[in-house]
Amino acid sequence: MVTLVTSDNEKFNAEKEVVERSVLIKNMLEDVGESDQPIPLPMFLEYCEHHRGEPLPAPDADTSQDDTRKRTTDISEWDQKFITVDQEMLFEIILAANYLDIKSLLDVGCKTVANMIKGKTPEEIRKLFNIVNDFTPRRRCAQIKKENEWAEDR
Amino acid sequence: MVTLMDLPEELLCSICEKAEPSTLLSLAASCKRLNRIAGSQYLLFISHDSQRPLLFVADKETSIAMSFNTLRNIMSIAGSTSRVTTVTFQFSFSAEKTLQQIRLATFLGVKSDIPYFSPSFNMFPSFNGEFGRLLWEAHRLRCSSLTLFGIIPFTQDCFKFSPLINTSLSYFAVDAAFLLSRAQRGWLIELLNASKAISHIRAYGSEGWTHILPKLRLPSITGISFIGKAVGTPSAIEILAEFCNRHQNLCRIDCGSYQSKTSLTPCQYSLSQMQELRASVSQLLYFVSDPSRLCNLKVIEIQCPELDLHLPSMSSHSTTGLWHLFSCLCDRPSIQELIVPANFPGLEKDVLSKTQSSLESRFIYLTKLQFREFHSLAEPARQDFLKWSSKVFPSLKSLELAYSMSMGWDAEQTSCFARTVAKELPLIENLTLEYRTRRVREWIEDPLESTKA
Repeated sequence: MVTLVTSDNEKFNAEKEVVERSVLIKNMLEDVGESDQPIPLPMFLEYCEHHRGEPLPAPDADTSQDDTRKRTTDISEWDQKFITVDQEMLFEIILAANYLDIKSLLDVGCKTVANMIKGKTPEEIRKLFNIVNDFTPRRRCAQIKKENEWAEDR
Repeated sequence: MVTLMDLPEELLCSICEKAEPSTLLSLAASCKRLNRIAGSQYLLFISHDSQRPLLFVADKETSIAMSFNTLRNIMSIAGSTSRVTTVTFQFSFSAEKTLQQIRLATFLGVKSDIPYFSPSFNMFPSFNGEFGRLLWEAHRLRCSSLTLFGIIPFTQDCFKFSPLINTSLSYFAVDAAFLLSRAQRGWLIELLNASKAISHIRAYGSEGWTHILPKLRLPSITGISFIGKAVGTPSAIEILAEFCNRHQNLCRIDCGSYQSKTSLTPCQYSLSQMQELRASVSQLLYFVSDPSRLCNLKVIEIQCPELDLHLPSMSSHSTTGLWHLFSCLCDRPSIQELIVPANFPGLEKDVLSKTQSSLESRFIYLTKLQFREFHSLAEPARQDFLKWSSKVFPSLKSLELAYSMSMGWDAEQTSCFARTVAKELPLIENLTLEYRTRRVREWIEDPLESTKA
């Protein structure tokens, strides 16, 4: 059993096998061995619990990007439900997955954001994510787009 | 509260990697930071290399280049295509679409210094308006090179275009004969006269030029090339000479290949600025038969007469002119380089039979000789040409063999030929084969250049 402590001092107990889905925690445990040292924890135990036992991606998986990171936005049903959260939580999960080095969760998060943007206009994207349009008027794509509606078939 | 824009760069990259190309375009258009991140991901996706010249064509089916849509997408990311080095427009077959494409071209120039603009046209109705618009764009984009290819289907009305003074256009090429017809040539004269930086004109066969040249005033022009039989009447060469006389910076001319059947009165202008001259034998004789004319000529290229003039009965006549030209050229100390087509009609016969006229001239000043189409000679004839060269060009220091087809020599043949060159022309230092210039000794010892420095 491992005890994980969040930065606001909540304690979670979890099996070692579960939390080891985070490469960060796995490395930490290997480095310190048996220890009382608290490990900072955001929300991810549920995710790891569900995916326990699945093989971890090989450390050099990034090199074979074509297969592992192909432009697919398919997300499994369970993950889909798991990630159906508000925007703030979604970005927190992405940040945490990145920090804890859980590649599969990071992938799910990024795919979810990509899905949110799909088919949206720049203006809609700005509204969705509260982005300030910092282009000078001439650079705006929308203008070019308006003048060239004939070329819509991409 | 964490927002999308709070994510670190590498996470935004990860999201972009998951996004579809069309999504990337929208992202790139939303703000500057995403423009950089999503934009570069899109460019990566379409394998766009900003260092490479781009060719854009209208029809998606054409596999050789990107479509106008892709161009628009790149522009929407880049804001402009100012880093693009070459843009070639091949406009659509449909008038309507072409008009839209020209409007798109407008956007190229957000901050544009496109140095090359080369539209190609196909038939479609009511052309004039679009063409005028295009010329205006070429002007506005300050392109330095304008090439007009294809059939230019002016409609019945006279094409009216009032060009503004421009200081960017330096190269102009045109191959459209109709463009130069009586009714239509006015705008071209105005366009060229308004181009204050124009330095080179290249034109394909049209007699229209004999009417255009007298009306041109181009102080910056340094070179002019006519392809084929553009200067195709006896009087045309005089018009060209008059043009040269008015333009003292013009030092390189290519008169094309028109071979006049009647002899011409020698040139009346001194044209001392002229350095390079490419022309048929009759045109060259017009310029150089008087030794006081073109006294600073450095390079001369003899053009083969056009094939349709090359009748069997003419071959002896052809070499008469050639040997006469040789006798006019051989005593000129300024000439450094001579370019002779080895397939000149009758030349091989005269060289092989060692006719007296072929050996009469001796170019004691000439140091560089180039044979064109050397592959057209049979193996024994090649040696005869070297022997002949040693007598006619005794001071040669470099020899170049140029050919449109490879000689297909192996190492042994190359080395053997270089040995013959060394034997027949001992003064030769540099020998150029297959577009590579090396010392004769190097060709002999290491014909395949296996030991690279």
